[in-house]
This record gives sequence, structure tokens and C-alpha cells, in this order.
Amino acid sequence: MSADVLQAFSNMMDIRLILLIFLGVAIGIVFGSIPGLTATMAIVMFLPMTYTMTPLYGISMLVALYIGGISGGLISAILLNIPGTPSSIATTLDGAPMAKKGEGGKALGTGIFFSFIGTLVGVAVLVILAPLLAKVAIKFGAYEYCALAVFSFSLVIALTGKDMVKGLMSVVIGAMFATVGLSPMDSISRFTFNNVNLTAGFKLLVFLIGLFAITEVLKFAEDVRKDIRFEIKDDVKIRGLGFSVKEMTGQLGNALRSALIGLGIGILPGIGGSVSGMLAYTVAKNSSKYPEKFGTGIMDGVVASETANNATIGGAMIPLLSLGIPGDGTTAVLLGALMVHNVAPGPLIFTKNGVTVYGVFIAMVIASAAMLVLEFLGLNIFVKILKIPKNYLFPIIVVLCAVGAIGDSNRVFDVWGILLFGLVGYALSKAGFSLIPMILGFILGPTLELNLRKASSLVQYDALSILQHPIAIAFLAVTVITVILNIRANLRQADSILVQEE
Amino acid sequence: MQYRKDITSGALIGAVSIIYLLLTCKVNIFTGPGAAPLSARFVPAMWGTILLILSVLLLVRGLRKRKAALQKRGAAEQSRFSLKGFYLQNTEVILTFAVLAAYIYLLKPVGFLIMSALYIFAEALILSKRGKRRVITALVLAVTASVLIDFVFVRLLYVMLPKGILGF
Repeated sequence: MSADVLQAFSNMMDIRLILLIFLGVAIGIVFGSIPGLTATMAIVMFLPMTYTMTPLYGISMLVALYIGGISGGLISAILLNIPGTPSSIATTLDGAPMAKKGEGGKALGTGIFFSFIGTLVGVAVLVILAPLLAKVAIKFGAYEYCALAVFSFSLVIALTGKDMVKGLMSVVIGAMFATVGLSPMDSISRFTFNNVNLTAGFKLLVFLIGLFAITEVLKFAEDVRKDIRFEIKDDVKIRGLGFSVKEMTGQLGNALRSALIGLGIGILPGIGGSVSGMLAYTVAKNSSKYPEKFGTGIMDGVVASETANNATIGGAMIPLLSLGIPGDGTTAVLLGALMVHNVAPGPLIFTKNGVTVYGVFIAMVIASAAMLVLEFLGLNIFVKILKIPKNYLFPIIVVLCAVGAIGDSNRVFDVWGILLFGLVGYALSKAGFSLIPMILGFILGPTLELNLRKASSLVQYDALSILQHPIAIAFLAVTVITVILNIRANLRQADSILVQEE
Repeated sequence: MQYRKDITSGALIGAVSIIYLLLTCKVNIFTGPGAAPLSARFVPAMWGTILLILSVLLLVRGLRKRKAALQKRGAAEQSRFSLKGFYLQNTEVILTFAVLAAYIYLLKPVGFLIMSALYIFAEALILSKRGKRRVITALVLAVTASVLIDFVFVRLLYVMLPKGILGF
């Protein structure tokens, strides 16, 4: 292993790679800060550019986009009170009031610095935990994967607290899309309508591009007639870090706790930055000595939200790399990217592609540093970019998405796919469905099916064999408990079948 | 009128799940040696059934809410659904969708470069606010962006994009 690490270090001593990472972070920050564009879109769009790069270059750049993207959201959250990415929703709660009070520089400095801390904590834990998890996961067989998939689905129930029915429907719809093509195990063609192009099923990337990027464009088209205007203060300056050393030390406890929350949420499949930001904010508020000050513009709120959402990055990469299960929507795209570059995520990733993976870890650290530098130095530039009219930006984005869809396997058919999923995504999100569970369903559906059928064979031969698989039983037990607790909590609310608030 | 969304989506998705289940029955099952007890039909059937049940739940929920809302307000706010009204309300979205479909359909015959320029031009205008339609800017931008993207992806990165009429 250490030979791989040393090799990775020497690979990273490449000025072109470092410049590429800086470029990636810069672009990521731009995408993150413009409301309506997300880190996920950035990765989806730049993925085709990485097709001809080596896996290390390609994945490093995409990870840099990810890190830049998640942290870029704070810029518009603070200056415009609009979260640039869903992860920065909680940052608006205290960040924007601070800006209105004239403390914009402090808010920005705080957000940037603690984003940096959060990312580093996330990466540190990633480096330690991922190999360990991979070692455990190598022993995973049909029972374990099946139980894991079921558990992941149950998390959807826990999280779409308000509307369980729609959350579950979203998951199942995703899983149903994944059944198109050849069935796992016996390769029987299903739902292909005798169309050659559908035999391989829908590709993950096409699914994601359509669902994320095209849906956003359609949503923007919807808003065109509404006169939404935002004003940005041009004159924000940060002196030094923006806050004093004493204030920083006071926030360390908050930061650490928020980072751990972010990590935990990141590790859980399917849940991402937006949840971790809000959760960390709520916890910080409830455990603080002055909860009433939250929301009026204090540092603590920004620290909690930004540390958590950046720690989620490292956390989400853990299940991605060691189990092949993405921790959130953005890592789902990274999953597609890894597959394009022939790096198969899963337990064997450290043995087969160790050098690349360690290289990516190092890239993440470099990217965090790049983010710190770029945001502090280049803040005014990013603010100017925020002003580019989106009616020109979005069409270009669509074209880039088309390139992404075609470039992967050189079929124009895939571009129809992005239109289809764009339409589905738009229609469903208008109807109040959340799209993240659908991604989980699409990715985990085949895993569930394959392992369920394998497990059924095992059971056929030895009905009690599952008892020899404690991990699987543990997952199933946790699933059952989670589901029961959540259904009970939901039924207690008056009215409705499995709730929805008006 | 939240309940309308529930009723419509519940009904539509329910219909989709029924169609899905019907299609599932047509899937061939492999019954030779080595076949698993759960066939290729099982999991799709499972998804289809779950979705059907859930959509019925959604439908019922929507109907219940409608009943409650109608009781509260007395008179029913029955706004008629008209196709024209739908179009007028969602013009930009429908146009975006149409232009995108045209783009994809003509991509292979006409070629990436030309179609992308046309698409960006059209879409930029669709997405502009009423008073602010700058045709020339959109045109210049469309052509520049197309050429740039084509150059970067086809020449520099060797991604194969449809050549179409221009032949390069």
C-alpha cells in the first residue's frame, strides 16, 4: 500500500496536474456560486472533457470541480441570500443577515476558511476509513449487498420525512428505469421494444444529465416570465481572514462537531450536502449558549453550515470508493465518471487502482488549498461572473450536456435519453417529487435485483445460510427498525396517508 | 391546489405502473439449469406492484384533500383546463422542449456545428425576458460558442460529434 502512496505522490508532482486542479476549483466555484447551476452540473458538463485524459487527471479535475462547487455556494448565499447550491441553504440563514449588517467580509471569510477546514477533515477521514471499509466490504456477498441496498432504500423513507409516499415512488421509478435492458444474471431482454439501442439500458450518465441539467434549464425557462432580480454588492472586501484568531478558536468546537455531522450524513448513501448543512446548523443552534442570536447574523451559523457541507464531500466519497454506492447526487455522477475511466469503485479499488485513488486523495487536499487561495484572492472576480445573464449561459450548458451524452459511447440516441429524463425530472419535480431518491433507485435497483436473486439461490440450497452472515442481518435489523420508527412518527401526524403538509 | 398535483400524478403514475406490469408479463423466463428461484420477471413485478400501490395511496390522499378543501370553501374553484391556457402559461418551457427535440432530431443529418449554433441562438432568445431580446448578441454568441465547443471537443479532445452537411 505504501508503495502505491509514494507512487501517487510522485505522480502528483506534476505542474500541469496542479494547474488543472486549480482550474477545476475555479470553474467549480463559478458554478457553485451562480444560483441555478450546481456542482453536479459542472461535473456532468466537464466529464466529456476528461474522456481523453488519464484517469488521474480526469478524476482529479472532477473532484476539484466538486470541492469548488460545494464551497462556491456560500458566495451567493451570503451576498444574495440565494443559495448557490442546495448545500448552502443553511448558510443563508446567518450569512445573509451578516452581509446586510455590513459584516459581509467577515461572513465570507468565515465561510471560506471553515469550508477549507471541513473539506480537510472529510478527506482525512476518507483516507483512513475508505481502505478499512474496503477490507470489510471484500467479504460482502449476495446477502450483504442485498441487505445494504434495502437499507439504503429505507434511508429514503427516513429522510423524505414529509412525504414518504412520493419519496418511495421516486425510488421505485428510478429502479424501474434501471430494469430496461438485459436482466442481471440471465441477460433476458426486458422493456427494450426490440430496439437495439435500448438493449444496454439507459446509461447512468444520460440519466443524471437529463435529470439534473435539463431539468434545471426547463425550470429556468419557467421562471423567465417572472421578474426575478437580484442585486449584488460589488464592494465586498475581506481584510486578512475576515475574523480574529480569538473568534476562530471559539468556533473550533462548533466546527468539529459540524464536520462530524457532515461526514456522517455524507457516508449515508443518498443523502447529501443540503441535509448536512441544515442539520449542523440546527444542532449548533440547539447546543449553543445563545440560540436566540441564530438567524440575526452570527458567525456560528455560517461555520456550522459550511464546515458540514464540505465535510460531506469526503464522507460521500467513502461509500463511493469502497462500496460503489454514491453518498449523494454529485458522487453519483462521479461514479459514472469513474466507470468511464475504467476505475471500478468497490472493495477492490485499492488493490487494482490504488495509485489512482491515492492520487485523488492528494488531489482533494490540493483542491481544498486551491479553493482557499482562489476564493480569498479572486472574490471580486467571482462576484462579477455572477452577473452573466443566464439566458445565454443555459443554452451553452445544454449543448455541452449533449456533447457529454454523445461522447461517452458515440451514440446520438443517448441525447434523446437526456431529453426523456429531463422531461421526467421536470414533470416529477413540478409535481412535488424529490429527484435524489430516484437516483438511488436507479443505481441500487440492479444491485438489489442481482443480489436478491443470488441470495434466493443460496437460500434454495441452504435455507438457514443467512444466519452465517451477521453483517447482513445487522443491516436488515437496522432497516426494519428505521422503517417502523418512521412510519409510526408519520402516522402520528393528523390526517393524511403518510403525510404531506400543505 | 396541492391536491390536484397529487391526483394527477397519482393517476398518471398508476397508469404507467399498470402498463409496466403488463409489459413485465411478456418477459421471457429462463427455466433451464442454473436458474435462480426468482426469475427475471420477479423484481420488475415487485417494482410495478409497489408503484401501483403507492400511486393509489397518492390518488386517495389527493381525493381526500380535495374533499376537505371543497367542504371548506363551499363553492368549487373549478378552473377549466384548456390546452391553449396551458400553452400560454408554459410557453417558454414548451418551446424549450420543442427546440431541444428539433436539435436532437436534426443533429445527425445537419451536423453538430450548425445545429448547435441554431439551437443556442433559438434558446437564448426563448430564455430572454420580454423586453430584452438582443438578437445580434444571441447570434454572435451562438456562432462563437458553437465553433469554440466544436474546436475544443472535436479537434483537441477527439470526441466524435456528428459531422452532417459540412463534412468536417
